Amino acid sequence: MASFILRRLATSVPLLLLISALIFALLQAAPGGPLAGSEGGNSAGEAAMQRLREAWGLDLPVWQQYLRWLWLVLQGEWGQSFNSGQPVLELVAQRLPATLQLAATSLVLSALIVLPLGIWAALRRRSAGDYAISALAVSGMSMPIFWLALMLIYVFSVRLGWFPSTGLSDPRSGASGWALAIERVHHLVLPVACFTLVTVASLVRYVRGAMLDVLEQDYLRTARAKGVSESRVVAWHGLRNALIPVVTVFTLELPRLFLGSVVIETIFALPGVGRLFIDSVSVRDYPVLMGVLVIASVIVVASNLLADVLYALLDPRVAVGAR
Amino acid sequence: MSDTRPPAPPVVDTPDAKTEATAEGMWQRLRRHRAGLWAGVLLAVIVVACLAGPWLSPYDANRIDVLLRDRPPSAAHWMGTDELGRDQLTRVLVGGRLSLITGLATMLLAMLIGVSVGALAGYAGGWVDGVLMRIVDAFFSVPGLFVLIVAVATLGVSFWTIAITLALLNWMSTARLVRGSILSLKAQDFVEAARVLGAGHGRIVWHHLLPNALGPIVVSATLGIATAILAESTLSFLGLGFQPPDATWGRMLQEAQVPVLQDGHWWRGFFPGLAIFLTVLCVNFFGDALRDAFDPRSR
Repeated sequence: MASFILRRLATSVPLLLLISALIFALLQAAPGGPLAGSEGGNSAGEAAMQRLREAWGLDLPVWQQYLRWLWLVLQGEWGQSFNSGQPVLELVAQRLPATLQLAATSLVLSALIVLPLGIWAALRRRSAGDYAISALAVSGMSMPIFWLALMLIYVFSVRLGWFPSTGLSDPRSGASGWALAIERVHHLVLPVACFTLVTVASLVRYVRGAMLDVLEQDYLRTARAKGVSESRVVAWHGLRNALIPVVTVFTLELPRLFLGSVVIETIFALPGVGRLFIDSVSVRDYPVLMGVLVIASVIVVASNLLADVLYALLDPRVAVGAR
Repeated sequence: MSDTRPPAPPVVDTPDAKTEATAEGMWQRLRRHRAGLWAGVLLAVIVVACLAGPWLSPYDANRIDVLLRDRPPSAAHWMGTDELGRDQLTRVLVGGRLSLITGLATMLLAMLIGVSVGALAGYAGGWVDGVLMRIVDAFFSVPGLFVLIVAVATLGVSFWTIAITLALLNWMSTARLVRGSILSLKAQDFVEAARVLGAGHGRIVWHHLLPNALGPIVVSATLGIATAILAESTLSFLGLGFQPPDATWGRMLQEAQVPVLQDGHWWRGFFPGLAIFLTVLCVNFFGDALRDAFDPRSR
């Protein structure tokens, strides 16, 4: 098992280097580079531009710039925002709580909904309820999330006035303690509903499929033949094995704890990482864009690794088979 | 190793097929998939309406009529009018052209990359396969929407930047699928027979392997259109995709935010979004019916 994990780790490092090079190349392709906006400028002057280029290493060949950048990143030097001058990591850390609140709440809620729903659909295969869940799943997957959000805000916020439509809390209310907590929950209802609906829709088929696979296995027939009660067969022998692929699928959703949802954060004006990213795109804040992209890629690769390792831990046949 | 996510199970569970894996059996299975067929019909209607609609409509998509501003849906204007008095139905149909064409172009490009890489990796095997599959892994680990946003913002908004970037972010599953099919096909006797008869590598891949892998290719192409349409409209909704005067459904929704939320003109947002939703829904259902028709074993 240890060697399995080590081998997986060893493939992740070159993978990350490749991805970071891809991202670096992409940002280099920007016409004129990061200083394009200030060029031909009034007071800056050619000499000042040259000093800036040297300071940021923009006069070096691209591959040297990449190595230089990589070296700095590995030392924790992620640069400063062109826009605010704040260190990139600090800026991201400021935005993370909002994203975590939204994404963690939604993912936990999704798990609580999707597990019973998927299992129920598998047990009642081809019943009206099963078809209804499938129809719901494909509708949710085809749903443009910004449309859903816009319509939910229109109905529940504009028309009915039940929920606030933007932000994490109302700065004017001056609430604190429990009142503030309730206010925050109130603000999160609509965005969490959108996030959860779409997540449930995309995951329910995996749960159903995993359960169906397990229900066909010989060991379930054996359990029944031994006289184990049906509910115990399903809940103990069935569910435990069905959960293995489900754990994998959920692990692959983990990057969303960092990435959140660009669309939901934008439309509900939540000050999260996704929103930071969009704001940085419009002002071409390259250090921030680069930082967010790199952290995001590291998290994606790490989640893939974690999913593989969890799978191997839960189902030892995988590690043996991969040898 | 990356993307350990198992292949997505199909949308609708069809009765067990007792049909042959022939063209006729395929057609039988497709017909039994009633939801999928209706989705195909509705999709055809949407496409034809977008292509022909602007000519059939009595209104000009860009004609401004200040007397008809902000009207809710009525018999004369089925989807209402916007703040300049333009007919929304006509605008939705015109906007659909760019959305659909972007989806189609993206899919074709993604297929070109995916099928080439998959076929090369599967056929060549060895280190070529290893390198190509690591590249697939790398692309799978890239946060797609973020990269799309940065790429379009830095390279400039144009039809081809959007289509090419989207394709570059969505070819990987096709490559894996094709590689898998080629791997299992190339071990079969008819390939050996072709080689003995003197067929070159190109001929074997093009005439013997790819035609037999057509099923998965067509299915992933169909589902690729759905992904592309959704991604393009997300980008345009964020204001980072197509810019006026180009209209797509996503762009229309972007412009509808203020009218819907501040003035309560729900029709401005409802209909363009409905168009995206219905189109993507139909493509997904239809793709699913196709998958079932090509591969009766899937569940």
